[in-house]
Amino acid sequence: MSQESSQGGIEGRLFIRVRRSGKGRAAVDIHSTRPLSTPRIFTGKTPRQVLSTLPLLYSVCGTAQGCAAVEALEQASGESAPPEILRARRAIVLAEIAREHLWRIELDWSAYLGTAPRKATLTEAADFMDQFRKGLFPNGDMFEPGGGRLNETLDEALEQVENLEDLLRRDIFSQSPEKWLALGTEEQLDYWARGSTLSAAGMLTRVTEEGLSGLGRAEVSGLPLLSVDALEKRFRATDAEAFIEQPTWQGNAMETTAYTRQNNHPLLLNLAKKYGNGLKPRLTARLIELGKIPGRLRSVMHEGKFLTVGCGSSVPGTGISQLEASRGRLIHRVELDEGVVKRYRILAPTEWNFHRHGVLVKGLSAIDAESIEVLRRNTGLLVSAIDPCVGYSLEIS
Amino acid sequence: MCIGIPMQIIEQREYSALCRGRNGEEMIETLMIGPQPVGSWILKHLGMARSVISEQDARRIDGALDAVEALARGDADVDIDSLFPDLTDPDRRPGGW
Repeated sequence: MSQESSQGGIEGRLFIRVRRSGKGRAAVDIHSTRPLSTPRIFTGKTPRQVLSTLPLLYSVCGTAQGCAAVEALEQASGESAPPEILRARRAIVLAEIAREHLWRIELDWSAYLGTAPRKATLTEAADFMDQFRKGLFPNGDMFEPGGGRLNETLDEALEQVENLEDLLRRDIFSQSPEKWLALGTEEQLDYWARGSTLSAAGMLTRVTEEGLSGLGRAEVSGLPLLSVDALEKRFRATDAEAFIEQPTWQGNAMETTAYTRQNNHPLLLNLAKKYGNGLKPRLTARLIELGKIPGRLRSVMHEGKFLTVGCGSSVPGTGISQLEASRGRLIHRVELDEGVVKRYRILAPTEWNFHRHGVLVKGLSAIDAESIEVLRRNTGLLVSAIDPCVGYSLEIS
Repeated sequence: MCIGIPMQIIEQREYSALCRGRNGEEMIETLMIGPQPVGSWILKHLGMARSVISEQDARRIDGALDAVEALARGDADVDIDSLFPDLTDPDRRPGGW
C-alpha cells in the first residue's frame, strides 16, 4: 500500500494543521489522503459493469454517485433515458440530500450541544430514503442504462414526501417547513430558535450566544454551473489529475456547499450582510435546503426539465454529468472506447471545499485564536459545518 | 472518496456493535440503522453504520476495495476481474440495491 493510502486507510483522511501566529491569526495547512485514483478500477469495464459496483463502492452518497455515473455513461454511449426516469433519479438524489442533512443535524449539532441524538430521527431519515426510492423504482433498477422500470403511480413516493414533511415539522422546525422558510430576518430566526427545544434551534442559539455567528467568514466564490465544453477541456488537459486533486476555476479556489446553493434565500441574504459565509449563515443554509426539499421533490417528480443542465457530451465517446449532492457539486466524466471505459474520473465536492486555498483554510486563517482549546473547538465546528466526506485529524499548536 | 467499508456484526449492543471487517474488529455505532441481528452486514463510514447490506454486496465491495488497494500498491499483475466476480456476469442488474 502506498504511503498516501496507508494514512487513514483506504477511506482516506484529511489532516488539518492549525498553528497560532500570536496576532489573532492562524497558519493553516491541509493535506488529504483521499484515494482519488479509485476510478481506475473501472478501466476496461462496460457501463453495466461499472454501474453494478460504483454506487455500492461510493456508498456515502451512493445515489448521487450512481446517478452521476449512469448519466455520464449514457451520454458517452449515446443512450438516453426517458425524461420521467431522469426526473425520478434526480428526485432520489434530493431525498438522499434530505437524509444526509438530517443525519448531520442530529449527530453533529446534538454532539456540540452535549445532548443525545434522537434515534427516531436517524432511523426515520433512513427509512424515508429507502421507501421513497422503492416508491419510484420498486425493482431498484434506477441506474439501468436507458432507464429502469418506474412505478406506475407516484402515490407511494408522494406519501413518503408527506412523511418527510411530518418528520421535519416534528424534529427540526417545530412548525411546517413552509412556514419556517418564510422567516426572513435574523431577529425572526433567533426568536424561532429561542422558542424551540430541538437540536436545530439549540445549535443556532448556542452559536449566536457564543459569538460564533461569523466564524470562518471567508471571501471565496461559489462554484458556478460549468459548461460541458469547459469541463471537457479541463478534463482533457495534461494536468487533469492535478485539477481533480486541487481543483480551481479560472485560477480561483471555489466553494460548493448548501450555503452556495441557498445564498439567494432572503434569510440568508440578510445573514450574509452581517456574517458573510460564517458559521451561522452556513448552518442556516443547511436548514433552508432541508426545508425546501419536500416542495422540490413534488415539483421535480412532475416537471424538472432543468435538472440535467450541465450534463452532456461535447466529444463523441465521452460523457459528463454534474449534479448537486449533499456536500456540493459532484462531477463524473467518462471516456469510452469500443464500448468499455478508457478513462473514468470523479471530481467530488470535498476537493473544492477542502482545497489548500479554499473556504476552510481561508476561514480558519481568520479565526481569532485566543487559546488552543478555543481554536480546537472552533476548527471542529467549522470543519463539521463545511462537512467533508472523509474523516479528519486536527493538529493544533 | 466517500468510501464505505463492509463489516459483519459479531455482537450487537444497545447503540453500537462489535463488527469484523477487512481491517479487523471495531466497535461501530449503529444509531442510524438501529439494532441488527448478529451476522448482518453493514457499511461503515466515519465509525458509524450507515446501512444494512447483503452478504453478496459486502463481498462485491470488498472485492472492489481489494482492487483499489492492489492498484495503489502498483501491482501491475493484479487480475481485476477476479476481484470483481460479479462484474464478469453480464446479466447482473446494475445498481440493484
